[in-house]
Amino acid sequence: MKHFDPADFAQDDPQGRLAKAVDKFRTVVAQVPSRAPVTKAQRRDGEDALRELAQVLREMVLKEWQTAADELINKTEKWCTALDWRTRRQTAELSETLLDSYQLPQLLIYADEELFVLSPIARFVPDGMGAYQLSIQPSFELSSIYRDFDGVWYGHVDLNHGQVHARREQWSKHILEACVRELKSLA
Amino acid sequence: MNRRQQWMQRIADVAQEYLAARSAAELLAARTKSNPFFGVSQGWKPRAGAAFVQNLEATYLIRMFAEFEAGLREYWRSHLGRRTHPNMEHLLRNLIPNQLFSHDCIDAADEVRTYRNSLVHLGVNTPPLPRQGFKIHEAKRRLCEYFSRLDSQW
Repeated sequence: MKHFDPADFAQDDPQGRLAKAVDKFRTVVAQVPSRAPVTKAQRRDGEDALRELAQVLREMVLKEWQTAADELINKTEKWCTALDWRTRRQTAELSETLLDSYQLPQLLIYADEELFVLSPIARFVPDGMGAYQLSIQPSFELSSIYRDFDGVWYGHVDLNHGQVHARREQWSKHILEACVRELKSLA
Repeated sequence: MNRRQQWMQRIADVAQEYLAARSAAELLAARTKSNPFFGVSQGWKPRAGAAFVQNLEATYLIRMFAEFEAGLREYWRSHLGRRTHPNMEHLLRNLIPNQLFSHDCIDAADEVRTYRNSLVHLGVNTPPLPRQGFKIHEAKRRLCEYFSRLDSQW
């Protein structure tokens, strides 16, 4: 216990690191006079602080996004097994400005003699906190599966009217089946 | 081929035309080198030939974006059934995208729009160029990627 240093553990505490990074950035900004140009040193310190802030945020967002994506794939995989559809997991490489390069799971589903792919689109999408797409191969037909701001995954059905007029439903075994059936009929 | 694919093909066709025009520019350069008065014999000044070569990529980028805009407006009007005529920035960034678009995909297409605007309005109020510029194939990649996210039922 005599070697215990709270600072060692603070490194693993994302909220603590975020608070520290925000404080550091605020401190640098406060040193810049409103009516004078920024000095080279202030600029460098500001860039360092902002980079640190972005790094902490990146780690937090990515961890949370990967957990959510894992949950989606795990659930879908379980439903596929229950439906007697064969599945195979793969890793998709993604790259987003705020997250750099990272990996997420994608699921190949062999259902009703057709191949479907549940693959990630991005964490940063309009009106949501991440999206996947379920597509039938080889075809352009797909349904978007996205995570709303409440953290719940939603799928789209009634695809014959187009994605724009599709109906949003909470992602479930029943909606997965409906999507597969509709995509097959459209392909 | 659905409408989405047709418009993507039109964008790709502009990139092909650019390659043909670039070859033509190289042939023209060879011709004017061997005969400096070739342009004059055809009714144009040597300065016009130099400008043609210099502006070639920008010219085709503007044309490519015109195809992109026309396609997007058709999607807005015919597929989404809207009668309004929003400005291009609002249309591209806010009105069209849904969760099938990543923000990076939207930003990438919008950077082409900003760059195209800087080319078109150069000399009028000379907005700063957002970046060094786009190669035509990079613009094509960005615009086609955006189009690939539109509704396949169109």
